Amino acid sequence: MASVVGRQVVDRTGTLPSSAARTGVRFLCLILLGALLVVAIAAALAAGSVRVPIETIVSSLAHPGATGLAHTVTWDIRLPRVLIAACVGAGLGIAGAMLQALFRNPLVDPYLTGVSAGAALAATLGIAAGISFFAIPLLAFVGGLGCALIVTLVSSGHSVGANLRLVLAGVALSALCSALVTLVLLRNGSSDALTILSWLAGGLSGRGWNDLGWAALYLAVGTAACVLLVRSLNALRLGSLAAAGLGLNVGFARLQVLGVASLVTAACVAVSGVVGFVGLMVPHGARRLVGGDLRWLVPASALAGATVVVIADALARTLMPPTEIPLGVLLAFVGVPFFLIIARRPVEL
Amino acid sequence: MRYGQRRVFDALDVDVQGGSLRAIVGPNGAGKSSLLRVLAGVQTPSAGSVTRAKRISLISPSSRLPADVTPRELAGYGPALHRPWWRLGVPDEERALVDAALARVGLSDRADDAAADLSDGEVQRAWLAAALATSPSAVLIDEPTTHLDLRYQIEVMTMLCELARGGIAIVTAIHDLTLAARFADSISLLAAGFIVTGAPEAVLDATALTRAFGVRITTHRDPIGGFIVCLAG
Repeated sequence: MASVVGRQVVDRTGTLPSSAARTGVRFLCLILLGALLVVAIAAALAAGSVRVPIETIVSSLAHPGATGLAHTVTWDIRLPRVLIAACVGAGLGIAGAMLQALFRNPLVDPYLTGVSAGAALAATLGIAAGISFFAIPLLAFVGGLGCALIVTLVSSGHSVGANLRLVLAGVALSALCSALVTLVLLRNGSSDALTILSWLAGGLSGRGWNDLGWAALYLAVGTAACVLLVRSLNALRLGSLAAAGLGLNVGFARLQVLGVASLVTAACVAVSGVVGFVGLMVPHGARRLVGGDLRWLVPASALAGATVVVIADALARTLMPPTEIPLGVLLAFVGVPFFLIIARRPVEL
Repeated sequence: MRYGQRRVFDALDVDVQGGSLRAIVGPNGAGKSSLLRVLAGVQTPSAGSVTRAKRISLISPSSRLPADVTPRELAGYGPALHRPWWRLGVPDEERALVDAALARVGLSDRADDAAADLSDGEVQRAWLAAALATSPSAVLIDEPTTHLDLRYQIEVMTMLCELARGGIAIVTAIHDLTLAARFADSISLLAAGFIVTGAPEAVLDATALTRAFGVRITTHRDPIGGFIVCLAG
C-alpha cells in the first residue's frame, strides 16, 4: 500500500540506513565508549603526584600481593578511587537517562527527586553533631532516599499531572533542605562549616576499597533493575497515555523507575557528595550517539558517565597540586558551557 | 464520569462486538476520549464498572512520536511489555508479530525509517501497527483522521474497516460525521451525558444532531456511495 500523494519531500542522495546498519553503528559506539573508559582509567591510574608508568600499573594489577611505593599508590590509593569514580559516573548517567525518559524532558537530572538535598542535609546534620566521618555516607544515603520518598508520596495520586506535582514537590523540599543546611552552617562555626562545605562540593579524596564495595553493590543492583525496566521506559517515552494504551501499568512503572533512580543516585551522593551536571549532560551526549531507545541509551550513558567522572576526578587531583579541586566544582565549570550549548539546540527525546 | 465538579456522563451502557467498526461521535467535551479511556481501562470511572476482553489497545494516532523512533521499534514496544521479565532478548514469535502488524498496515517498506522521515499518514499507520502487534481483541482509536488530508482519511478508515472484517473490535472516536456514516457498522452519539447507539441511518438524524451539536445540521444521501453525508450550517 504505497502512498505518494502527501508524502514529505525528503532529499535521498543514498539509501536510508537499514535496521541492521543502525544496530551496527550503535554497537560500535558502545565498543568505542568502552575503549575510551579503559583508556581513561589507565590515564587516571598513571596521573598524580607520584608518576606511575603504564607498565608498572599493568604489573601491579597482575600481582596484587606485590610491594613497593608504586604498587601501594596504585592498589591502595588510586585503583579504588578510580573505580569508585567510574561507579558514580555510571550510576548518575543511568539515573539521568531513566528520569529523562520518564519525564520526557531532556533538562531533568537525577537530583530532581530531592536526593541530593536530602543527602546534603543529613550529612550536614551528621557532621555538625560530631558523628564519626565513617558514618556520614550512610547518613547521606538514608537522608537522600528519605527525601525522595517524601517527594514521591507528596506527589502521588491521580496520574494526570503526576510529573508536574513531583517536580514541584522536589523543588520545594530541596529549597527547604538547602535553607536548613544554611542555618546549620551559620550556627555551627567555621571548623564544621569547612568540613560540611567540602562534602557538599563533592569529591573522592580518601575513598577506599570499603567505599567501593558499597558503591559497586548499589550500582550492580540498580543496573540490574534498570535493565528490567528498559521496556517500561521505552513505552513511557511515548507519553503516559500512549504507554497505558499499549498495556503498561503506568503508576506502578513510575514508582519503580523513581525508586531505582533514587536508590542509585543516593548511593552515588553518599560516596561522592553532590556531583552535579553528570546526570544531565551524559544522557544528552549519549543520546546524540545512539538515539533515545533506552536499550542503547542506558549502557551508553553508563559508559560515558563513568568516563567523564574518571577523567574529572583525575583532573581534580592533578590540576592544582597539592590541593584538590572539589569534583562538583570542576564539573560545574565544564557543565555550565555544555548546558548553555544544549539549551540552544535541544534534542528531541 | 466526573472531572472535579463537572459530570461528563452518567450510566452509559456501551456494548461492542468483535468484528465490527463502531464510531463514537459527539460535540467537544461530550466525553468521547474519556469514554475510550474508561473502556480501555486506562482511566477509572468515578462510578460503575467495565467488563472488558482480555487485551485492549488504545491509541491516539495524532500523538507526536519521538523523532528517532521507527515503526518497527514502535510496534515492538507493546509486545515487549507483555514479555516475561526474565526473557532478555527479542523472541522470534515477537519479531513475527511485529512484521505481521507492519505488513497489515502497509508499512513493511518503511519499517526502519525514523519518525521524522515519515508523513503524517505513515505515523498514523505506525500507531495502528503498534496497537495490532499486541494481538488485541479490540483496538480503541482516538481521532484517527486529525491532521490527515482527504486521501489519507479515506485510506486510514478503509484500513480500519478491513481490520474489523478480520475479527477485531474497532472503536473509534471521530469528529467527521460523514466518515463515520460511510465506514462504521454502528455509531454511538454521545452528547449531554447520554448515548444513543445504532446503525448510521438510525442515529444520524438531522434533528438529533442539531440538538447535540448546537448548530443546524442537515443530512443528505451520497448519490454514488449511498452513505449519509452530514453538513453543518
